Formats: sequence, C-alpha cells, structure tokens
Amino acid sequence: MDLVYTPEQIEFRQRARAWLKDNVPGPRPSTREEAASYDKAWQRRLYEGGWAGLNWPKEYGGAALTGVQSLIWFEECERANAPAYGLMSIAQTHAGPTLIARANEALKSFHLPKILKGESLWCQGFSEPGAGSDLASLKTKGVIDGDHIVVTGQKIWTTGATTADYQELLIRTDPGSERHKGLTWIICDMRSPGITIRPIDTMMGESSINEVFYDQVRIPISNVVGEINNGWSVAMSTLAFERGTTFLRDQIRLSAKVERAIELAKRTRLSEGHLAIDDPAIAEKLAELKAEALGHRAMAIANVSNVDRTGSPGPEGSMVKLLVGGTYKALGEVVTEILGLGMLDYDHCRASNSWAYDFMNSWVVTIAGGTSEIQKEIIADRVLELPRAR
Amino acid sequence: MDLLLSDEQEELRSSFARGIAKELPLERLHGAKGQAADDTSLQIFADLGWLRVSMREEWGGLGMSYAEEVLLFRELGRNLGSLSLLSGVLGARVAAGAGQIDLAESILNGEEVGLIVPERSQSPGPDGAGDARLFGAADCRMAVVILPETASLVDVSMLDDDRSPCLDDLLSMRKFALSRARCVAETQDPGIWWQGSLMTAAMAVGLAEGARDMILEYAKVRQTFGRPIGAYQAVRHPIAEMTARAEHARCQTYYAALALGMGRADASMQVSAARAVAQGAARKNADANIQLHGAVGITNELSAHLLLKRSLVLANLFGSRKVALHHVLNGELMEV
Repeated sequence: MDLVYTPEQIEFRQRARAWLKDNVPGPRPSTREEAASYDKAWQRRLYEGGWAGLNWPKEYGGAALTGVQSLIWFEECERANAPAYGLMSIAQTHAGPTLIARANEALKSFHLPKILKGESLWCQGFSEPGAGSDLASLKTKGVIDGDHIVVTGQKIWTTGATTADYQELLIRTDPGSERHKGLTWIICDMRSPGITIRPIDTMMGESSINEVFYDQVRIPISNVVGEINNGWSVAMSTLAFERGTTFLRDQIRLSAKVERAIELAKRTRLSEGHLAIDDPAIAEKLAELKAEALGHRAMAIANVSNVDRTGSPGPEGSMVKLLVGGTYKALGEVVTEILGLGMLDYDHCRASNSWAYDFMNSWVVTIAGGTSEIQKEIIADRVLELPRAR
Repeated sequence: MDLLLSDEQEELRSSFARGIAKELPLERLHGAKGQAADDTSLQIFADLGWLRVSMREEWGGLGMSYAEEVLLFRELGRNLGSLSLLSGVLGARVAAGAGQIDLAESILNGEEVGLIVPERSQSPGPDGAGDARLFGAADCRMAVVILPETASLVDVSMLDDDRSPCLDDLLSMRKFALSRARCVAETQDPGIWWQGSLMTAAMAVGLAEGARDMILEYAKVRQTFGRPIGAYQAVRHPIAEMTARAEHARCQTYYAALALGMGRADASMQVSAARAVAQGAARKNADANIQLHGAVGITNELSAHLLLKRSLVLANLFGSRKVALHHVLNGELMEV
C-alpha cells in the first residue's frame, strides 16, 4: 500500500500533461450536429496522439493503459479542461470493448479502426419502455428472413441516436423465449430504412436522448456479434477488460465540482447579505461534500489497485456509483442554497447556468446506467449474498 | 500508487483480527451492564508487541507505519475494545519524545495509562484550570493529554476512584480538574494529535463494519411474513448502504494513514476527512443496526446499543466533527 508514483508513472503524467496542453480544443458547441463533429474531431486528435482506446488491448490499436495510468490520464484531462467523450462515449467505452470481446474478425476489422479514429458514432439500443432496470424482459423482436434479421419494436433513452452511425442493439430472436434466453446482440446501421427517431424532451431543455422505433428494419445476419440467441452473454462481456475506470473520471470531475462550489460560495452573497462561505451551515455542508469526495478518490484508487493486481474490479466498483450519485445530488442541493434566486436564471441549456443544469443532471447520475436502487440490489446480491425476494 | 494491502499487511491484519476476536469476543458483552472485565487484554496485546507497531525502532518500536497500526485499531473498534490501547500507544510516544525511555518501555510493556479528554478544545493544558474527563482504570497512575500542538503525560494517582456514570458504561470515566494533574512528561509534537485522530477514525471504521456485520447476520436468519427479513428491500437496501459507507470510510482512512506517514502537505486534511467520513459511517450504521433489528434493538440483551454509544465517545476524541470539517474545507488539494 503506498501513495507513491513510480518514475515511469511520473514520466507518463508529464507526457500526458504536455500533450493535452498542446491539443485540448476550445469549448464544445451546443447544437447536436456541431457537437457530434466536435466529439469526432477530438477522438481523431486523441487517436493521432496515441490516446485512443485507453483500456483497449494493444493488438486492437488501444493504449492498454493500466488502472493507475488511467487515473493519471483522467486527472490531467481534468486539469487541462479536456472534453469528455461526449457522443463518442458509447463507441469508445462500450461498443468497442464488446466487439473486441465477442465479434468476428470481419466486424472487428471494419468497425474498430473507425471507432478509434473518430469516424463513427455509436448509440445503445438496450432499454425499452417496459424494460429498464429489468433489461431481460425486453421485447423488440428480430425475425430471421434468409440472410437478414427483420426487427420490429422500440427502444428508449437512446443517447445520440440522431447523430449515431451504428447502434448496439439487443433484440429477442427466439420467439418463445423469456428473459435472458433467446436474445441477440446485433449491429444496426442507423440509416437503415424503417427506423424512426423521436427526440425526448427532458427537464434540462436540451438533451440528446431519444426513442427509436423499428418498423421491419432489415439487418444483415453478418452483423450479429457472438451467436444468435446468445446475446445476453455478449452484453455481459462488455466489461471484460474494464480497468475500474468507468467511475474514475466521474469521481475526478465531482471532486473538481466540489472545489468550484466552494469558490462559488466565496464570491456569492446570500439574500441575507453575507457571503455564502461565511454561513456556517453552508460551509459545513461544503466541507462534508469535500470529505466525501476525498473518500471517493480513495475508493477509486482502491478499485484500480484491485484491477491492476487481480484483473477484475473489487467490491468497491458497485459501491462507487451509489456513493458518487449521493454526493452529486447533495452538491446540487447546497448550490441551490448558495445561489438562491440565481438558480432560476436558466434558459433551456447548460451554457445559460451550468449549476442549474448540474442540479437537474443529478437525477441522471442516480438513475442512468443502473439506478441507485439497482446498485443497492447488486451490493445486496453479490457482495452481501442476502436472500432474494425476486 | 496502490491502496491494497500487501501480503505482509494482510497477514498482520488477519493476526490482529484473530487475536482481538479471541481476547475480546463480542459475545462477552452479551447483556453487559457494567464495565466488561477486559483489562487483561491490554497486557496480552502488550506481550504481543501490539503497542509498538508504529513506534520508532530506536524507541523500542517495530518501526512500521500508520497503515499497519490502522489495521489494529480497526479490529479493536469492531470488537469494542477499550481505549487503553490507544492511550498506551500515544502515551509511550509522549514519554519517548520527552526523553523518558524507561517510562516509554513500561507503557509499551503494558502499564496502563488513561486517556484525558479536555472539556474545552482550547484547554490551556495541565498548568491551567480546566475540566476534563479521564477514561481508564482506577489504578492508572498516569494519563495522556493530547492537544493539537503539545502532548503530555500527567500524574493522576491522586484522583479518587469515583467513577462518573457514563452513557457508554463499558468505559470507566472520571471527571476532574486538569489543573490538579502534575505534568510528568511533555513533548511538542503535533503528529501525536493526528495519530490519535487517525486511530480514532480507524476504530470508527471497525465499528461501522461491526454494526453492518451484526445486522447482516440477523437478516439472513430472522423471518417475517414467511421470509428472511434480508429478502425485503426495506432491509437489504439499508444494509447495502451501510456496506458502501463502511467501505468509503475504510478506503479514506487507509489513504489518510499513508498521507500522514509520508508527511504529505495534505495529511491533516486527509485525516480530518477520514474522521468526518468514518464518524458518519459509524453513527449511521449503528443507527440502522438498531432500527433493522426491530424492538430487540433497543434492549441491553443485544449489543447493538453498545456500538451506538461507543460511536458517541469516538466522536468526542481528538476534535469534534466541526473541527475536522474546518480542516477539510481549508485544506488544499494536492495535485497528485
């Protein structure tokens, strides 16, 4: 156990810092099309610098960073105010790894280079109106017709559907099947005839989530990843070489947000007249959140330590998301106290008031990608091995 | 950069856990009303060398780091060990720091010293008037007073044996005027305060885990409406939260132990964050442990109340929550 970086790790940090200093672009535009171009361009630049496919194996063009290197990279990204993956996120962190784990050579050699170079954007077609937390109850069906699969149904909460080139689509191909059996993971070209995309308005005003409707969409069988009717196991293989880094970036950004909230309190007066930071209750709340954020950092490091040593994330993994969500939410609450009426100055987009946006976004943090309630179920089932009622 | 125990550390942790479970099993507290007769454990632990873990080798110590010592206090917290090990570790360091090696050795060999907690954190110290509480056996001849800038051993042999009733009646507590105690050894070493604070955080971590362990076991066997209570989300979700909190506190406490051991600029912030997080985990977990046990949770028959009461004691050692949060807020994040 130590907090010392090796000389190699220090050199790695210096290299990352220097590259980011020279390459981080300006602010991200807010319209969907421009944001998509921006995200692809950033990915292209990362690729040219050798920073694409951070945790992908080298044989697939990845940087194969260890957990600690990933920690350093994300810290330097935060320091340099580097953009997040944005619309490139699913391709880089989800679709790409799944293809590496389970796709055949033809699909890998076609898609992986495009993902690495920022030439294709992906979205995810998993959740349905009737299948969110209980994904295995999904109903969108695929019927085999010669060398195509014909898809009919609906997906929801699909981030980036309007700008994506491809979708990782999970469908039910065995008609009589139930739950995890009889599913197929297939690559869907988003320009296929029969696809209708309907953007979903969210409370933040701007968003990139959508409903996607499939009306007899024909997808070549050659786009199946893994085997037909074995799609659940493909979906489970996505995290095969996860380095515990999924929440690293979230935790680093949350810590930075807490610091910015403290700075905000130092320059914002409450309606009573005194500075927010001079209000004992607000100061105490901010201090609590800062202490929590320090603890998240320690947990994230424990997580990557575990992955680097054993190859798989430890029990901390399932707890980090739960705890980070709680802190994020509490941060939003204290900022509402700091800003007072200022919280109301919001005009449908993050650029108009990032604190108001982040306050609303706290529900995305505690709901998307596995709700806090599901995280607790996962902890109860897998860490605590408590009896089940479901 | 690694926050996992090495093989040696894991072995040490395991031997601490075994030793403490053997000498201080939680079952000993079953239906406990007065002070549990666990005074013999201090001598046993002293004979095992456990008071010497982080002490410098030239002072008779094993020269290990706070990371190892945290492992010991975590197990002690889990099993509601008395505070005598803490006061012994710190008292020996005070004695050695004051140049009194024989006194240090006596303490390391198991002579019990009490722990004094001043009522006012701005206490002027042994020369000034001030009320204080003394935790420790009646026959202690000395006790340790640790303040942020100075640490002392004082003679308490003149105090009478009258115990003050204590909410946590596993501990022997006496109230007295600090001015009555003559200073025996003194050292200007802010590190002792932070060591005490860190080990208190470690005890709170163990306590938080112990509370979770207690209800986890119960949830698997207690039945209601035809099922084990652990099958219901109203029960399993709070236990999951207890687990996440305890893990959060454990990781931060280990991190703080490393930072303090390295003498990092942010060490006091990290230790203070560990106190804040661990104290919160201890209190909330002790609370949930009682709640989820139902009515039996408020009885003396069950040990759950003892965890709650001990969490209150720990909250008052080495600075209150407000003091800890003040250090956190004003500490600067390091770029590492």
